[in-house]
Amino acid sequence: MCALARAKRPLLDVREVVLVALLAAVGGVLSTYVGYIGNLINRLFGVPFGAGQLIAGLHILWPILARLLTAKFGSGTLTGVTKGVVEFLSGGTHGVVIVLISFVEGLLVDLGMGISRRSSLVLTMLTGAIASASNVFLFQAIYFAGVSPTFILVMAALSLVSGAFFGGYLGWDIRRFLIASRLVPQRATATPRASSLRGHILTLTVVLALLAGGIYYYTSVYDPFSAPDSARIEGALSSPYTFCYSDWEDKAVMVTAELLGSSTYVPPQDYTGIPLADLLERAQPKEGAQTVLVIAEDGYEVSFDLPAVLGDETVILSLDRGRLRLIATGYEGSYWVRRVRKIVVR
Amino acid sequence: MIPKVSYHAGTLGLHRATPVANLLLLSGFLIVVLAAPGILVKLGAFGLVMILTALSGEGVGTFLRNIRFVLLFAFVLFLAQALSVRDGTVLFSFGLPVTDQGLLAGAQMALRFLVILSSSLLFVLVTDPDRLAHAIVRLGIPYRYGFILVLALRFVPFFRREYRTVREAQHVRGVDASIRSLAGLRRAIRYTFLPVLVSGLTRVDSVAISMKGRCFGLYPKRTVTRKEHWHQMDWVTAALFVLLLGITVLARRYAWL
Repeated sequence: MCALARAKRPLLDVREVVLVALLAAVGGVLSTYVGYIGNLINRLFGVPFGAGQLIAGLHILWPILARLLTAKFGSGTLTGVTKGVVEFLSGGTHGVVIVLISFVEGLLVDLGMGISRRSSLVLTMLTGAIASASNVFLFQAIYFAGVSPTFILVMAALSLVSGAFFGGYLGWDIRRFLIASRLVPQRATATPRASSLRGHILTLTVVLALLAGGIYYYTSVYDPFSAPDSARIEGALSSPYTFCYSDWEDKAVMVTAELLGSSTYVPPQDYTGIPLADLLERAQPKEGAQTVLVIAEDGYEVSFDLPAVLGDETVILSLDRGRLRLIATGYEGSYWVRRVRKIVVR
Repeated sequence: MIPKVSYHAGTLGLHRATPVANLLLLSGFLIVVLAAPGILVKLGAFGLVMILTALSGEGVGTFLRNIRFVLLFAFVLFLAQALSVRDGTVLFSFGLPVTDQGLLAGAQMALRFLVILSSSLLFVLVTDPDRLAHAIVRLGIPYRYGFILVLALRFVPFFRREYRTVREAQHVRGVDASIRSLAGLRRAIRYTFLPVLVSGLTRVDSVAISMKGRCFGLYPKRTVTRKEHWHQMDWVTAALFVLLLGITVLARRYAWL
C-alpha cells in the first residue's frame, strides 16, 4: 500500500537497494580474503607486490553482479563506492584510497555495461577487464608516479585479464547460476527501458572524452596553489626543478622585440626577463632531447626546437603583471605564451 | 585475516568529534600529502597523526604495531621509486644506479603512503561507522541511496560470521586452502564466494519486505531521531583542517622542501 503512494519512480526499488547493499557488504568482507589470496600469489611468484593483480578482477565482481542483477545504470557505481567505504571502515589495507578506486571501478562498470541495452558475456568480460585495469593507473597516479611504464603496463595487462575472467566471466556465470537456482528472478535481469545503441555509444564517447580531458587537465596542467611567478621545468633533464622568477632576477637581460600575431600587433619595445636558454642549461637536458614545450596554466602549449632555443638569448621569460610570460623574439605571436606554468623538454 | 584495526568507543581526543569533523580532518591529511611537494611537510603530517593518536587515547606503540605492514610496504615503495627514477646525480650504484632524485622521489612516495594509511586507520579507530553512515545521509544524499551504506554496514557482521562458517566447513571437509595452481585458485574462490553470496541472497526478499512494511521510500525526505551537534572538539578538528590546507598552499607557493 505504501509503495503505491509513491509519485515518482526512483532509480532503484527497495529490493534493489537491499541487493546493492548486500553485494557491497559481501564484497567488503571478502576483500580481506582476496587480499590474502593476493599475498599468497605474490609469495608464489617471490615478489613483494604486483602479482596479486592476477585476482584484481575479484574486486569488480560485485559491481558487475549488481549491474547484471538490477540492469540499472548507477547500481554498479553505488555498489562500488559502498564496497569501498565498507572495506575502508573495516580497516582495509589500502586506506581511504580504496573508496576512490572502488568508485571509479563501479562507474566504469556502469558505463561499460550501458553501451548496449542487452547484456552479453563479451560485453561483461570487456567491461570487467577495463574496470579492473583502472585500479593500476589510479594506484600509479597516487603511489607509483616514477615507476617504469613497462612495469605499469604489465600490471595493467594482468589486471585486464583478471577483470575479464574473475570479474566478467565469473559474474556472468554466477548470474546464470542464481537464475537457475531461482534465487534471482529472470525478469529482474531484463533491461527495463530500451534506448538506442548509437545513443549509448555517443554518450559514452562524450563522457570518456570529457573525463580524459578533465583528468589530463587536473593532473598535468591545473595547479591552483603554486606561486604565480614560478614554473616547473621537467622532462628529459638531469636536474628538473621549479623555476621562481624572484630567485633569478639578477640574471635578467633586456631584449627589444616586436609581436606579430594574426590579429594582434605590438610595435617593437623593450622587455626584461631571464633567457630560456639559461633556465634549460641549469636543468641539463639529456642527450637526444629535441624539443621544448612551453605550457600555460590553461593547457595551451607551443613547441620549440631545443637546439635553436639553447643558442638564442632573446627568447626570455618575463614577468607580466606578476605572471610569467614568454617573449619569443623572432617567433610569431602565437608563440608568446602568457601565464607560463610548465616547461617540458622532450 | 580480518584486520585488527576497527572502531572502538572512547572519550578522548578525536573520539569526541563528530564523524563529519573527523572526515574533514582526514580530507585535510589527504590534501596535504597529495598536493604539498615537500618531504618535511609530509613528515610533519605523519607526526601530527601520531600526536592525535596519542591524544585520542590510542597507544602509539600499539598503533605502530598495527601499521607495521604499512611501514614495510612504505619501505618497498621507497625502494621501487629509488631504483626506478634515473633523473638527477648518481650517488652510488649496485647494478642499478641510485640518484638523488630517485631517493627524493622514494621518500616522497613512501611518506605519502604512510600518511594516507595511518590517517585512514586513525579515522577508522575513532569514528563510529554507524554514526558516519547516518551523518552522510544527513549531508544531503537522498536517503534511499545513503541508506545503502547503513544497510551494508549492518550486513557486515553477518557476512563475517558466514564467511567464518564457510571456511570452517571447508576445513572440516578437508578442502585444501592452499593455492598452488590456477585450478586451486578457481576452486578456492568458488567454494568461498558462492556459499557466502547465496546465503546473503536468500535474505534479500525478507529484508526488502520488512523495509516496505515500514514504508521505507514512501516520502522523498526522512526525519532523523539522532542529531549531531558540533562541540569544542569539532571546531578544533576543523581548525586543524584549515591549518593543513594553509600549509599546503604555503608549501606549494614557496616550494618548501
